[in-house]
Amino acid sequence: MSALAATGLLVIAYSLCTIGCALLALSQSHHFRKVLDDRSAKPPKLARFGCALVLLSLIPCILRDGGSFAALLWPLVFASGALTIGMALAFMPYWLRPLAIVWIKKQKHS
Amino acid sequence: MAKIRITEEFRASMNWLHTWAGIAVSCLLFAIFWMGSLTVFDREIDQWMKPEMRVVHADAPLSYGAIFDTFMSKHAPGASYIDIRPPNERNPLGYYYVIGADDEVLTGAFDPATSKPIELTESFAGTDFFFPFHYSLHISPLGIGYWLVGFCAMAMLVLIVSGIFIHRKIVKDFFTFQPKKALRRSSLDLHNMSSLVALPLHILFPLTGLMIFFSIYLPWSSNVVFAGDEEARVEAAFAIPTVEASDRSGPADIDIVRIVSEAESRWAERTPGSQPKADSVRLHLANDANAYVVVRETFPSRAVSMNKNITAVSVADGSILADVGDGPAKSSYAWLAGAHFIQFDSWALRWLYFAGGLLGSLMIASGLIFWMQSRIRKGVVEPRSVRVVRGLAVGSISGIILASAAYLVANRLIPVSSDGYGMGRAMFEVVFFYIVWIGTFLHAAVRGQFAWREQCFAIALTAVSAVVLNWVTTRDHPIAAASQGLTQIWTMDLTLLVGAGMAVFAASKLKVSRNQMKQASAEIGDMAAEAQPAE
Repeated sequence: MSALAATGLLVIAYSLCTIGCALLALSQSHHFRKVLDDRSAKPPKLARFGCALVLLSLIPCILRDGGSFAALLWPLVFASGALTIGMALAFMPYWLRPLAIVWIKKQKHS
Repeated sequence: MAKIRITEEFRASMNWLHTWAGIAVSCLLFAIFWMGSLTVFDREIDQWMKPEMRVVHADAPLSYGAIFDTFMSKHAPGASYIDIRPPNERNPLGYYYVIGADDEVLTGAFDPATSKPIELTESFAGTDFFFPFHYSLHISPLGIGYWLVGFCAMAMLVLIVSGIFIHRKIVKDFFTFQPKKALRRSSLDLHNMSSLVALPLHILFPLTGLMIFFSIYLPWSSNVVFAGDEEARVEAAFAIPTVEASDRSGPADIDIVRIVSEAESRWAERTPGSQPKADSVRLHLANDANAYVVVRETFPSRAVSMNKNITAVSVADGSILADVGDGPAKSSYAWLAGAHFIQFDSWALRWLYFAGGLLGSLMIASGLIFWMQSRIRKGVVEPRSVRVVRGLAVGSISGIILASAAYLVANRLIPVSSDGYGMGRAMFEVVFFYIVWIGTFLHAAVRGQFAWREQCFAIALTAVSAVVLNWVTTRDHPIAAASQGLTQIWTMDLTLLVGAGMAVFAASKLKVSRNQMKQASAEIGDMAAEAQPAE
């Protein structure tokens, strides 16, 4: 596998994990309210979707290095994604606002 | 299905266990985690500390015939044992280990292009100092170091299980870190987050570490299967045949190249689709009629599992004396051990492991800080018990980081020709490490709460000094190293600079003023006086 493809798959795995963790965090009222800066906002039910994305990130890990390496790579990539979201919520919660707003608009349309 | 009900009593007992087991082992556990994190890059640290190793790896196959010929005819004539390890991406030089005619041991590096041994800077560096510190603490009598590390690994598993039971809001705390809250709250948040996000790895690291040394911790397994015959166990597991020396001299020509290539093809047939490559070729009973060669693939570059293939071949008739491949039990063990040794070729995983190790260190440090902050009154006034733990914690956390950076500085400051006042240059560097480390405990005892901040500044200064000294002594500043393709050198320099920046950031957050301490003491004094009944 070329270095570019390997890097690409790693970026995809990390992105899926990070977005998945972001959705998991936004499904919790205290994080959702902090992101929107609105104490009465009702959090969307995104936990299942977030879990699915985290699970989905296993696929690029397996494609990149095979199952044996993926068993190590996947939990480490998940830890990186979860830490990214934890730190974003602590220092720059507004970074997650676009994701939250997308969901709110979607809810309004439906 | 039976439902597990966690009673308050059970939770309280787990809390007690978590708190006191944590306090008992956390200082030592931090040292093990810190050294383990450094060991992830032990070969790279070797290259940084031994500048003669700074050559770009040439991706050409090693000529085993030429190497063995050179050693048997020139460097070690009459040798009884020769072990040759080819270079790889992390080791640009080859390694030899020879037992000479009069039983003297010759070991070192050689240039794969010319087969000539290369004189390296005398230093234990990453592979012989940081790595053994990680698993034995350099305490060899009675194997005490191994047992202490094993005890800490077992304690960590107990801490993780008890930590899960005492945690009430695992989901809620998963992404929660409140840096603006009091240190007590923010350190607990960090402790929870760093433990939860990498929970499988925090279980994997100590568990696999314990499994690697199973023959030390559980020696009875080989007693039962091999009736206590350790040699028989090693022979069965690592295909080292029991061959006695004869009185006859061996063949003049040994076709090492053929033996190695046949072993590699044999392994490739066994695992279709793989490209096995020998990473150690050992000639036993050289110059004897019963000479045999053991070809090993201990650390395959494209597999997690280690000790993958071992084949022993008789030199005289080319017969296979022993051959070990994958079996169900062995391959399970090999994967778990390989997941801890991480000798495979994957830079992404290597950096993630390094980060995972540091995350484990952060989990231990934040847990200790939470314990102390819970007992400190008014944010600054410490009871005596906290003072003792804080002194130990400062030395074990910031102290060992400072001592590790000082070890690098000592490596660059001590001249290559130095004999370390008779103790040897490599040992002199180690003495420097321990002097600084012990000094940090004394400093913590004398400087009290100011020690954290001061040692953080010292870490930053020492890390920057290491980078500058590397530049001055080798001329390989990060840009020069990058332009020569010495990735290991410039990334290590950059890591040191990033570490220095983080130490300064930590120091800026750890500011405690004397006025604040006086005011808090006075307030506590007033409260105590108010609480006293008037006479």
